[in-house]
Amino acid sequence: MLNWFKKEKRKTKFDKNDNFRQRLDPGDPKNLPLFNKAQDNTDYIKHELGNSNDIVVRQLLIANKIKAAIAYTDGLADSKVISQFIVESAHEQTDMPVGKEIFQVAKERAVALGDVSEVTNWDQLFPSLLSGETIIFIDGFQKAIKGDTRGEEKRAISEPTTQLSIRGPKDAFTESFRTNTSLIRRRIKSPNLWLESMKIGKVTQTDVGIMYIKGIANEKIVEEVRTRLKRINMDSILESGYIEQLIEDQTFTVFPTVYHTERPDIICSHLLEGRVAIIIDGTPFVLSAPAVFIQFFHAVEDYYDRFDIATAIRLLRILAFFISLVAPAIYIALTTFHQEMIPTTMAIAIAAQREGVPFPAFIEALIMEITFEILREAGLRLPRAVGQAVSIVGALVIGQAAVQAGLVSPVMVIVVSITAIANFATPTFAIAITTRVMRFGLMVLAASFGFYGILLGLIFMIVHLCSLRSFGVPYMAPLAPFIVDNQKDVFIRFPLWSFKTRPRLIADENIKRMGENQQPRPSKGGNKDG
Amino acid sequence: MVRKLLLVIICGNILFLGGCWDKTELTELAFVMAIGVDKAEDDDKFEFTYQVVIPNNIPLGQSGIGGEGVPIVTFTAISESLIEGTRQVSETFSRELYYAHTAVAVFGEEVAKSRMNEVLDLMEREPEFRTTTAVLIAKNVKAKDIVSILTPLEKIPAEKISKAIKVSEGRWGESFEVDIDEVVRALVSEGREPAISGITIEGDASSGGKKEDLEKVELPVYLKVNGLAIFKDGKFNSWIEGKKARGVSWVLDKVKSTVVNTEWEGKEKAVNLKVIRSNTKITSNLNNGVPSFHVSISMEGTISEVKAAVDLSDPIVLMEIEKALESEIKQETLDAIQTAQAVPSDVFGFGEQIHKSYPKKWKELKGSWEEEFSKAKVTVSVDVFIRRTGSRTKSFL
Repeated sequence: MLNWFKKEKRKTKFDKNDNFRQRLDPGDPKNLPLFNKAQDNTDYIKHELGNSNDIVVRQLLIANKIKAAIAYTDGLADSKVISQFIVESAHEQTDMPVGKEIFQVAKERAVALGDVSEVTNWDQLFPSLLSGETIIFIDGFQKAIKGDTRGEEKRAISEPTTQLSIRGPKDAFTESFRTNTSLIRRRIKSPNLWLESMKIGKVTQTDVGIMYIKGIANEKIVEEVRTRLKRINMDSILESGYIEQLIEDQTFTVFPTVYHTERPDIICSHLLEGRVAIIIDGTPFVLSAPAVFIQFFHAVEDYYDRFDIATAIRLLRILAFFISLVAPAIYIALTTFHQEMIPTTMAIAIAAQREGVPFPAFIEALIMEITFEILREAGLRLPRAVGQAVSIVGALVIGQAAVQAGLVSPVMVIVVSITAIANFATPTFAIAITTRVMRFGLMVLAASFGFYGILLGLIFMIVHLCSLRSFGVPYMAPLAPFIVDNQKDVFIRFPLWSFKTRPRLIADENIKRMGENQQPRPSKGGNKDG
Repeated sequence: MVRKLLLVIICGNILFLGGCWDKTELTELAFVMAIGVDKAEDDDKFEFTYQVVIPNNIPLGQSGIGGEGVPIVTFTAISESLIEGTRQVSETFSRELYYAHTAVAVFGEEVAKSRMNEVLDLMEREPEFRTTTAVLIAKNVKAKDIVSILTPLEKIPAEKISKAIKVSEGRWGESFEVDIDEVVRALVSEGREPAISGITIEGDASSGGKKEDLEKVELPVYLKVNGLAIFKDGKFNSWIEGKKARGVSWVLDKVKSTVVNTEWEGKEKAVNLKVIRSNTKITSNLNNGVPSFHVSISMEGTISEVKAAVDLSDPIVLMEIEKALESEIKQETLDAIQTAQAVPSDVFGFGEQIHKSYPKKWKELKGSWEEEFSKAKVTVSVDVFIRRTGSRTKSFL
């Protein structure tokens, strides 16, 4: 009877708080305080979390007399740390004071953890609890101690899977927020490297960090990033793509205006140029903003190799971009409009090959391009075990078999292949997808208007590119607007010692990045004997 | 909103204003590789022969798609104009004749003598034609025969012809490539007449064009670039051949490389010089209204063959050889000029030279330019420089 009454009483007590979930909705300022009794608090946690069994609740005595309770999330919190530094430490306490000091002493002495702080209301408590921190309740206090015991299972740092390099660091970001910040911090040991963090996502409460180098990054851009991130009011942030799409300047464009990478060295170089990095918990892809068009053609190795080689490869990459963009369109335009532009022997060769093909050049190209895109998509999504099957079938579809079946001409196979290879040569995936999409548009234009159409398409593309902005920075900078100083790292990668200034527009103040006379040369005295 | 829509409509119209619209698949086109123009038996009409390539019969790559059968087919149309002939052929041929890849246009002597201009007008006017198409005159045979003959090495006969002229221009110098553009310019110009290389058939012309013939080691019938056709008043007049033809090439600065030789100590053609570089400059002068010209040719070469005992290590001997060669070339050139003056036909463009240097005097001269040209005093100076003597200085002879 008494028990029942108590339960009822408790229930009514909770009922006052029962609209906790409603607080997930924006604009509800309710900050309900904790209960006085440790038991009540743990019961409330159980109640609110629907008795989820990964929430571990445990009663204990501090110094064998003070009633306390701890709560943590199993799997996210490190149970070894908890048993050693909270439970054992609490038991071993001998001289605990009485009265109001208990809480303070417990916080300072009994809990032997690095990061300890107080929580006073449920709004603060739940996110901490659910991110792996341990909450310690002490009877008689309407507040709790929260200790950092986070120790979730995480993937080890491994090699990057998207932007590979032959020379350069082999580590990549992981899904863990802390690992990611540490990877950056390890490379830039400057007190000016600042990390601001916030939680975004009403339900997911995802950790998001803004990292920048104070004094190099443009204050206005940092502020802009901050504002845009704060504006986000969504239930979930599951990947950096969510953030990217919610903060980019222009949604209706095929061009990426925020850069993403899983390489810490790229992010570091961006930070040092004055860019802002946005790290999101749960994804190995870190964002960097502002991003300019030409940046997507710069591979990280451009800076590790010597400048002449780096320049040659960079130019090759830009050529590959154009090939992957226009190769099928040019094939269509040449064979259906401008036959006079093909060298005679080649024109006859193509004509001979097309003799048995039942489709017009455009349809032929479309079939092959779509087939290839399907193949690529299939190769990307399929379970690894059937990968080989796809490559075997793929080689048949885009290859000799298709030619022998009389569906396509051998030249078309070559065109599709060169397009695909060129597409793979693009160093960033974001721009590679863009070219894939635009290619089809250009093919349609080429099929209806020939070179004229291709040219109009490209002009339209450039006009569009010039109209884009990334966090206020013109997307085509430093080409449009033309900035002479920054041409050293656009198409041609100048020797490293000539990079005297940081990119303008991105890093506004503190533009100088190296001392004078960095060009290596033999010392004046020289070694005369040698 | 309305303005935006208007903008879109205007921008959209740009697409259609380009004039690039009609698309044609490669398989809808018949590539005309060569055109032969003869005079038809009916006096007012031309006989056009179109050499059309059959792409499938051209062996491709190593696997060799196609390659069976003859690579070309010819069609003949008898009509008053080229364009009419083109359309006429569509009665017999399933594809549209396409001229953008036409390599050569061969004119029969009869046509060249009378109405070549009429055909050239279309070739120049029609955008599909390349003005870089080579023009040739069929020597002693019908243009139709030239166009219909099969050739070894080059699968497409027209290609063989155009390559042959280029090679002979680059290696021998007795003939040179003249394209439609040059012919028309020479025809239009008052101070210049065209000189067009000739092409002929060696062997039995009537049996040419058989595929079996190509399988023989010694070809019974083959094409040969030969001679220069000299025009007078825009009409074919006569042929210049051999050394004289090269003389014309020297004056026109068309010689890229050739072989010149001279006698030495009584032995004919004892010393051969491989010319590697040659340059011609023409200067004009008016003395009391009488034009005179000076042609100065300078060349560089390598001694390539010696048939007599010559000490090439001796610079004085080399200088003597240079002198001997100089007089040889000078004679060649003067012969050519005299022949042209005898016609008279200003194939060298001396008149243009006067026009450029003395535009006012030209107005007086141009009415009687043919006569003036035939009387003009032309001097030639040649400068030969022997750059190398080959791997051996003293001949073992």
